Amino acid sequence: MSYAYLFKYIIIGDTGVGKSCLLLQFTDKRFQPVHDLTIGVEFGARMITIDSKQIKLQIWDTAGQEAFRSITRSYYRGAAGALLVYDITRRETFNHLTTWLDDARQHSNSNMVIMLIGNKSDLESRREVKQEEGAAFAREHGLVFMETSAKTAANVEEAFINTAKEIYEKIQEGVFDINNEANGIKIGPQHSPTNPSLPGAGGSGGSQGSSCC
Amino acid sequence: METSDSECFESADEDFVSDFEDERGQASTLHHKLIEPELCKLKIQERDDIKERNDDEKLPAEPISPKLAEPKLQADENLWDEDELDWGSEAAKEQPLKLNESVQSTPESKNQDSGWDDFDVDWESEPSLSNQSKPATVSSTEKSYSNAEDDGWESVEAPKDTSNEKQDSDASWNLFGRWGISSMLNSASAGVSTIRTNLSTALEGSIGIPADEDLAKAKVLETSNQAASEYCEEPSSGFGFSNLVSGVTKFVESTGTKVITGGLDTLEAIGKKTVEVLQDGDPGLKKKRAFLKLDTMGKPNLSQTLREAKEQAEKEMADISQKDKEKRRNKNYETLFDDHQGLVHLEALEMLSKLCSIKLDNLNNSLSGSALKDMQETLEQVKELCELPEDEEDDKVPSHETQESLSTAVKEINIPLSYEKLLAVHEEADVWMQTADADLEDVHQRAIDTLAQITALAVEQYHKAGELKVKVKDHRSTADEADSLVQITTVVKSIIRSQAEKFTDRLNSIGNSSKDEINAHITNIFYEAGNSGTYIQDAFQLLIPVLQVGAV
Repeated sequence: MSYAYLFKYIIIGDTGVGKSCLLLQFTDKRFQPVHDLTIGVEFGARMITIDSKQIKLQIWDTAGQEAFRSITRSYYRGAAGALLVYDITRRETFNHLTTWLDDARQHSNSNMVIMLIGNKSDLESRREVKQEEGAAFAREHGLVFMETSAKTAANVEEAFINTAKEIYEKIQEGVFDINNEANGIKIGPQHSPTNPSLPGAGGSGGSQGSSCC
Repeated sequence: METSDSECFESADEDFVSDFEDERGQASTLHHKLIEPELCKLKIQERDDIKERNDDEKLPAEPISPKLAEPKLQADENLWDEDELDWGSEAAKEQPLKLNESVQSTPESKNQDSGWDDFDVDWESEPSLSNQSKPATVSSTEKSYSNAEDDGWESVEAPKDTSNEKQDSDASWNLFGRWGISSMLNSASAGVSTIRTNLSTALEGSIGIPADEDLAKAKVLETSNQAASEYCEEPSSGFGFSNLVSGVTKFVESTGTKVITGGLDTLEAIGKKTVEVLQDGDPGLKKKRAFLKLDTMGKPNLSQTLREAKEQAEKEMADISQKDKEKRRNKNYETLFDDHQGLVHLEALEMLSKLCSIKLDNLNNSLSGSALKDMQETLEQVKELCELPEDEEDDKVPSHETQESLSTAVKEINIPLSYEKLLAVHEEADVWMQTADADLEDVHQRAIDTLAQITALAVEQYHKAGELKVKVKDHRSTADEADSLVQITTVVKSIIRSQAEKFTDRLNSIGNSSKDEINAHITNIFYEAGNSGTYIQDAFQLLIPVLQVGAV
């Protein structure tokens, strides 16, 4: 489980837009149609590879309920990336994006990469928010945009990995100070520039992997 | 290369020294034009500093020396005072060595600094300077100076075995290197070229150095050669060759100024760029300052400490696993704790705890008089309610009662906590121990993993309790909540203890291992069980501000 970097992500957005399902699809590659309401925050983790470097994504899946809002705000701190999720079949979740965005910008560091996600793209017949609207919102606010389906797994992988790529580029450009943990990036224990890829360091998916015995 | 040049300068230098008053004025105006006010301040401090020293030692070169030594010093300061003016001036004024130390953290800047560092040290380490005849004195200082160029600053106590023949040239070189006009030239050429070499990788293509730099270099070489042919024939004894004065004056006026201008511009550009390079990926030089322990770091929190411990252990493990494949499958406690998401829950709990602490602080600041006193009393009461009973072996909860006492405690708190998973892990471990055909390593590893997992699950429940407490505004009684959390903590700690004991019993039952090996493993299990208990206790402590917010 050695990694070069660890990126902290947060997933935010209205309740029921599919935040936890996106996480489950990404970490466990499965879909659970009925999901318990998230209490506060839940976690997931997965190893990915960018530029032949192992990167551990540590994902904080926050509760969408209004009642948890003050708690989840305290978790924004130190996130390198955020997935801001709305449901393409419920316009109000799209309308709330500005509030979420303000919240995120206010409580996180200014370099945080934000990916806008219109989820449930499999439910085309019930669509209420056009793809162009999402794209326009993202353009206007300087976000990356993608439509996903946690059910069919369409674009899920891409959403998480493209965000990581953006963060990685920012590190390369020196925008992110990787030594300041408030930026949501931690350097892995075996990160050595001279020997970037250790063979056999299994990049297994899923974090709950129990021990080997 | 400079040595041969400067040998020719020797007499000129001496003259120049005694007659330099005019140029002084010129050079001074130049400086002031070129350098920002802050730099001037620094310079003055530096000058005073050096001057003092010179006064003490009654050097003939005293009046002009400080000024002429400046350009190089300034180059060094420039790196720092851009951003860290106070610090820079402080260091330059009081601790010349410290300045060098800090500059040393830039790649390969050591050599160029060490000369100057040495220079400072020299003066201090030559108490007999004023008693000696001048050439001898100079030669000894020079010796260490040139040594320093090669070896860094360790060679301060260089032997004074320079031959007489060399002394004269040394004398001039020394004066050149330090006090004469050539200190400018020297810094313009040698300084520029060394800095350039040192930084060239970083600067290439991006610095935008004016062409003056090349011009300056060319001029230096040219004038050096000129001077060489002009002055080499002169006797090397030194003083009062007035015919040379005009030459030197002219030389300074015509080329020197250009060199100075170009040289200083270049040095300034390099200085600025160097600060940029230093700050690259390190805004505000935070890391470097931290490295130099200039910032007093805040007290690290538990999750951070654990993370560091984990990383340290993983690093060690990586080294071992290169050689020993067998060891590779074994993970240390901190890694397993992280794998079971204990670390991240702890981190989140810390954030939540901090949120509540801030709320309390704000409330505290808004109150006064009796209201404030009341609040503080309430806070103190909650804290007392959360005090855990002393660790005693005999108040261990019997294992068949753990489940019951946990569920009673959870019912009381009126927060949907779940310890089913924790109990399941506990039971699974018991079953495993009775059935598995495991060796020493297996049992040990399983023990550590079980302890880490139980601890992680316990921390998770504290975290959930905190979140639900903050979310659900209407609460019953803080006393009840505190009481049931104390109870939960006591039970979980007792589970940890009994788990550790069972594993050590199991270890003792393994026959074919050496006693020492078994004992080492047992010690480690108890050690990690102790750690588990501490983490659980600390996690519980983090809940106190959450309960306090509910109470006030």
